[in-house]
Amino acid sequence: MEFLSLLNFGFVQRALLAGLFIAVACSLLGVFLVLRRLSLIGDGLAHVTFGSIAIGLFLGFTPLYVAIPLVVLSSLGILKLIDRSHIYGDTAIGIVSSIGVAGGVLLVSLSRGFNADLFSYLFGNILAITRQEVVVSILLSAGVVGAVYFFYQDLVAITFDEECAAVSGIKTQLINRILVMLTALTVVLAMRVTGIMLVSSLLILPAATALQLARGFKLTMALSALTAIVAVLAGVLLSFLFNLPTGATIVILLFIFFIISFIVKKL
Amino acid sequence: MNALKVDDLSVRYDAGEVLSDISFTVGKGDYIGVVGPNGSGKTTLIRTILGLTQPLKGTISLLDNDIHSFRDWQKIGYLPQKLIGFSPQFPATVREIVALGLLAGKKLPRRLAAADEAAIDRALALLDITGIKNKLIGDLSGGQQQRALVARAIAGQPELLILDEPTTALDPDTREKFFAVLKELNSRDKITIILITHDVGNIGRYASKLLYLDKKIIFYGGFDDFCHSPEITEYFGEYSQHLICHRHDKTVTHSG
Repeated sequence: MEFLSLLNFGFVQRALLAGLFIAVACSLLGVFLVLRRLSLIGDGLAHVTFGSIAIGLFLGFTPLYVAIPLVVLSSLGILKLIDRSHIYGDTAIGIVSSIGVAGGVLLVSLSRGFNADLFSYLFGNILAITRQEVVVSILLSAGVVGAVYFFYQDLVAITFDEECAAVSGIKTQLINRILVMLTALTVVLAMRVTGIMLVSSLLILPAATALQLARGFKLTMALSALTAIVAVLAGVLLSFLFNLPTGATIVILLFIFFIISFIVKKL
Repeated sequence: MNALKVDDLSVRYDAGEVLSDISFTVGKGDYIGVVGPNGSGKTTLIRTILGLTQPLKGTISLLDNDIHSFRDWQKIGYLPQKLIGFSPQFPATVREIVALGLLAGKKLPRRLAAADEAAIDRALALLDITGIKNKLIGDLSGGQQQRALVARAIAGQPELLILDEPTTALDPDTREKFFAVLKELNSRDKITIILITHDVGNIGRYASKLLYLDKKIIFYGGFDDFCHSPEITEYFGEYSQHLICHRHDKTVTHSG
């Protein structure tokens, strides 16, 4: 019964609740990102998040509130770079993410005293999530899921074939912007769960797992969400029980699920 | 009433002018075969007509509406030469892919209505792919994928259907059936068709008009004119003219 008694702890409840919502948001967006070969945008934006967190800590503001607008703006910057400079997506992601890291490192070296805080953002610590952060995470995750529901057909259409989607009257540029902005939001939120270093795993692994067993688009989305929910909930509880880092535990669980799906597909 | 009117159109890329002074009109119910050598601007012409490429000059009118104010995209069916960024892992079933052809003209969140399900079934049946409707698009052969994409293009029962080299991935038997389906859509459903093809040997059997493009219009008109014109013989040579004309069946009934 030790396992169930964990649920009586307020901080475990908060971690599970926030983790559940963030997992769903990440896993739904991940399907579109993986299929559009934009998986690494999560990594790139996570690097920008690192710089943004450093700015927040340096100036004494709540890092989450500094990171959200800065990372959203950076995501639009990546799109602009691709559009205007005619460079490949991975190059644009590389440029923006390296600026994020460079800025963060500069600020860390200029200051003394917030390196320990920054460490917790780098490697995640959802068990330390505050009540206010839980509310913000739930609201933003619900917003992301709502947006995916509302623009579902448009997102599927541009993911399958952007040109035909445009001829169908779908505003492809707008949908692309919405997709990267939603991704930026989820990356900032997921940072609390897995840490900046592992944030893209919540976007990529559930989607990659679901795609192994795909039998239709909606089913793939549902399977991706289920994989992420199970991994996050189990990861939070196991990490607390065995005193393991939560983010890394979740990622290892996700990887195990991926391997299982891979084997099941081959059977 | 015209399905398409192109007037004095020129398109320029960085490398130079791709299309020069293109003017032609497609009447409702016409079946136009667009042919020309590689790099002659066929795909650019189609992309410009659909508003995907901006012209240097000229005007385009779709279904009697200027392209800039055109909103009735549900009346246009389009099959591109190749899907940009298509992932073989794409997890949608054939039915889900065909359903994408019904999104045009719907308001967000663009949910399908009960009548749409019947339209999907009709398109699947027309392309003879009802049996594979629940298969994933990535699991199909090239020919089956192509038929699913054509089903998507016609699912909304468009007034104008534009296809860019749709028969490249098809074996001869499937290609024959495919042309027969297009002919049926044109003659029975009165759908205007613009078909870019390299299959010059077959186009004369089905299309009502031929547009020969080589950065400018070399010829636009009926097959009889094309096949019996001494000027065309002089321009193309007898062999090339014969390639297009030898299977042109004068008994084919054209609705245009």
